[in-house]
Amino acid sequence: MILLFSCIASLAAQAQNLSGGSEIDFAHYSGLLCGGELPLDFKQTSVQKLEKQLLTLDAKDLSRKERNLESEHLLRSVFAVDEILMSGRVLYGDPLSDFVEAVGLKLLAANDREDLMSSLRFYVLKSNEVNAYATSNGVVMVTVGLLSRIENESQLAFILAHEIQHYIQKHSLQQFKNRVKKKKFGQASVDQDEKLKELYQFSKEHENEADMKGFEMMVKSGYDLVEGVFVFDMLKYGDYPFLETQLNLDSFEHGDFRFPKTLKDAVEKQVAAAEIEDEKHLVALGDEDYSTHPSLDRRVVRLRDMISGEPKKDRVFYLVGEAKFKEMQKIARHELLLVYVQRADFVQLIYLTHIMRRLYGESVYFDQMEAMGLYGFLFHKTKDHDLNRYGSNVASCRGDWRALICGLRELDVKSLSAFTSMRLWEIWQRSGSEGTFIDRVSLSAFEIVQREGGLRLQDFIDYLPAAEAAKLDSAQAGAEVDPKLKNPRSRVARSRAANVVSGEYYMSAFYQTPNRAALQLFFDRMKYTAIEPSKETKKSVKKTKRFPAVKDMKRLVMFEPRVECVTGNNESSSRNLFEEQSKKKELVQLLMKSGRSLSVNVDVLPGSTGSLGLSTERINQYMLVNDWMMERLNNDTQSMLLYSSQTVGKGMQGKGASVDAGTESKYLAWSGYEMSHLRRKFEFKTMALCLVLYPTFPYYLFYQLGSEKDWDEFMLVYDVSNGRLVHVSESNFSHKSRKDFVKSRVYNNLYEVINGIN
Amino acid sequence: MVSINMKHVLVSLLMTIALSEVFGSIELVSDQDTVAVVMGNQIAVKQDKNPLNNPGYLGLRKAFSIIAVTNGAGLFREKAKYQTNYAFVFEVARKSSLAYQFGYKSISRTLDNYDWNDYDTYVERPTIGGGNLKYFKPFGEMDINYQEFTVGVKNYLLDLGSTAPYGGYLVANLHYGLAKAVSNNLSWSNVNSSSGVDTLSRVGVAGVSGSLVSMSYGFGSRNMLTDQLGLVFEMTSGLTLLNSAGFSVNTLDEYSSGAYHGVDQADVMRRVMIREFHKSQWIQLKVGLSYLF
Repeated sequence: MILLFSCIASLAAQAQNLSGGSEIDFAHYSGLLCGGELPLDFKQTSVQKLEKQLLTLDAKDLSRKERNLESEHLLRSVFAVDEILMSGRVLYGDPLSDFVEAVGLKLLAANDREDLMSSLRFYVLKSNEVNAYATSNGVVMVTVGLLSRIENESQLAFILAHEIQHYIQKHSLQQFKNRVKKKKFGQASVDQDEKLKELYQFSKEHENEADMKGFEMMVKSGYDLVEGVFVFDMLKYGDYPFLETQLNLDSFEHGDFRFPKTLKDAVEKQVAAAEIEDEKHLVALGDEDYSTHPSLDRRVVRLRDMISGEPKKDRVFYLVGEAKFKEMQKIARHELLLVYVQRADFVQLIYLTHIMRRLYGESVYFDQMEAMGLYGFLFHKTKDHDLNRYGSNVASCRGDWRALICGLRELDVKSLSAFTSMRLWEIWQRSGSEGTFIDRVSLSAFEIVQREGGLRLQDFIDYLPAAEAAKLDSAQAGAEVDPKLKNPRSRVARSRAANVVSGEYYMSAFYQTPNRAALQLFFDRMKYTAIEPSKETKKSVKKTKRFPAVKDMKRLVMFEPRVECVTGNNESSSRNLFEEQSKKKELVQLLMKSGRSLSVNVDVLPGSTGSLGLSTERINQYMLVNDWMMERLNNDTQSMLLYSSQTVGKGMQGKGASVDAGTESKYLAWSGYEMSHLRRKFEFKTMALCLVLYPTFPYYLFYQLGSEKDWDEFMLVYDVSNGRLVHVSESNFSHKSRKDFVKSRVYNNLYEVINGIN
Repeated sequence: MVSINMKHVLVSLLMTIALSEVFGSIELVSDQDTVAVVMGNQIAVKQDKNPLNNPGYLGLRKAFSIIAVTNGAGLFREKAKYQTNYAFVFEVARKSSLAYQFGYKSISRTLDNYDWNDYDTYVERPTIGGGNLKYFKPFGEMDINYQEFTVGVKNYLLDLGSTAPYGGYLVANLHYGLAKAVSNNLSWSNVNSSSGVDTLSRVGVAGVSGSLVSMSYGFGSRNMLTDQLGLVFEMTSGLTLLNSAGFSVNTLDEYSSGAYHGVDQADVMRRVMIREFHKSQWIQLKVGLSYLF
């Protein structure tokens, strides 16, 4: 109880610290949140930003063609960047982005570019990828994955200098113009990812120019220049763990618990085969002709040439400060574990917790993460899910974590269950107690161990190695027969029977555990008893397949609906971004209004419409809920305990005073609407034919002047307290998105959530 | 540097990916989800004793409509006639796809020489001495009135996104109509007599009444102007099932039938009047204003 209280208190303290910028309690790390004042990028809607930037275009003396090109580029980039900014994964005012900004400002100050200080904004993206980019709007984003890898401030400065040069040189716009000239766009992409890729994928020339001019910035700044070389290495090995350690099945062996040699040989074979593929990959990265980008090897050579041309003088690794950098790095690495748990990359998570322990020592946080990794992997393995999706894709996970991935993948369900049990017991001994998250994870994991793995916990305690059993047999043969031994229920008899039946290597996982009394208590707590559904229940399940009514819903937290408005003709269509924004705003209002009619407090989380009065507090709530959602989506199952279930409650609380006291906030909805209105393409042949067969001409006109209308909608509602889906609906209508129709659909969607659907 | 790993950053934006899955008609919920949801219904079955209610239009399930009905009458005649009347309809939604309606409509028309000619119905009288039959044809005008009570069923088309009482629907009505002549100034003269002296006496409208049971079917839609006010468009046609005059009103049969003519003036007036309200001769175009509550 005391431990639980201290845990809660430390979490609360951390939440305060994050916004206040004080020290972080790493032992109970719970993730970064935004802090400080809401930046302008979040305050304005995409349309407002676009209007403002179009005004600056007007001031320029541009030809009509140029102007059209630039405004088209603006349109694409503003909306695409806003989509990322409002994805719930961008941090500002936190220790990481503060540090990145500090380094960026040092660079600008040293280069006498104070003019850029207000136009460049530095953010951190919660992603495990090793990347950074600058958009044409002045947004510079660095990923958590990158921050957790860089070894000093100078490396970060090198990356930022490069990105700032992309912005200064307007590479994005140039690239856009080149593509238009070469007509490389084809059909406009509906996917935002593709749009961003188009906008921020630079040519070899642009990358080289950014390298060169970025280097000039570095020269003026006083940062160490050689570190740039290591940055390229870091990029080259981006798919590898940020630090490597030998961690394979051997690492977990102890006493009698030994993995079979055949198993280890099979794992080694797989690792060796995958490493050959790695070599090919690295060669490809070094091949200039392989990619549209300059090869990393050549960039390194060019950089070395540039460095050798510079006069030698004292340069520094840190301008902002080494201590601050180390602190930032530690936070980034802690944050990285959260990113992996959200991505459901469980084996990578297990691997990284071992790295983190070696770097920073034991911590409850690392134990929680490892427990989650073990539980998650076991869960998906027993469900026979595609393990490539859960952090164990041998092809894409390069480097030393491959040995662990191959090893765990190779274990069958029983041995993996035993392995998981063994690790969880170790974790429990260190950090577990009743009511903690580790306790909840262990209960869930041990349920799988017993239900799916078919293991009896008592058998672990009763296990005897074959030699010991033989000794016991001979001793018993000479001794008087103890009547108890004839009893099949006796402990010894049972243990020997178990040993004979399931005398596999994994049964020795707990053999010779010193604290057997504690282990017995632990197993007693973890014991799972299956509950058979009654006959009546089975019958009723067969009878109906409808989503139940959610009668107790008083409050519904919603993500801002996803909206896609497609216009054009049926050969060439594109998204109308302006209409999307206005429709989104309309939908948000309608959802809230419909909620009021249905006596449900609909709380729409912030989004790109900016209609709800954003604040840092709201952004943080959105971020917490979004984290939960990402984890839920990545795991794609509703019977699993989620790590972010610990923090999602805070995000579901709503806007301070507007929350009704005592109102339970456990329902989270996600909806989407796609509306298309496509003109039919004119075909001369058809018209001519209808003119010849003139009675059909009125029908032809009716067809030709009409349009293809389409309306797609979906709504998913989750119960965040247990991760279950309580409602799913998806509909498609051939209907124009008229105002009354939209109102009707939105209301009906909410109504169906509350009253259930057939 | 940027572009090399760019795709990895973007691919990790799962919201967008999941969205494209949904819009790409890929299975919305994973197998695991579906199974568990079905298991979740154990509770639902107990909870949902009552049948599912209809969301209506923003929760409004009843509608009162005033409908202007343009009647295209006499479709089988040489010259169809059009007249607009008003109907009052009360509609109540039962399910998302089903609504009942109750209507009242009153039609007043004037039959004139065009009608008498088109219907070609005379008073048939034997001649003294067994010669040819004499046919007396009405000339002039007769005002008639028809009051109709309707019970109807509307099937709202859920596939079009409709929810009773909003959206597109198919409609089937059962009508009970009371027809009566209000006044006339008809004169009756022998169609074969050139002198015009051979006439029947003028008669009043006493006994010129009847009732019809008919049905109609059609389609329509209700679109909303505001949250409560909507516009109704509908088109119906139909057929008469029964009439109190005791003869078939099927137009094609009737014109070749010996029982086509009446035995006296009142009989002719009644037959023409009832045929006038015969449903298969009508197409009704309706435009109305609805108030939802």
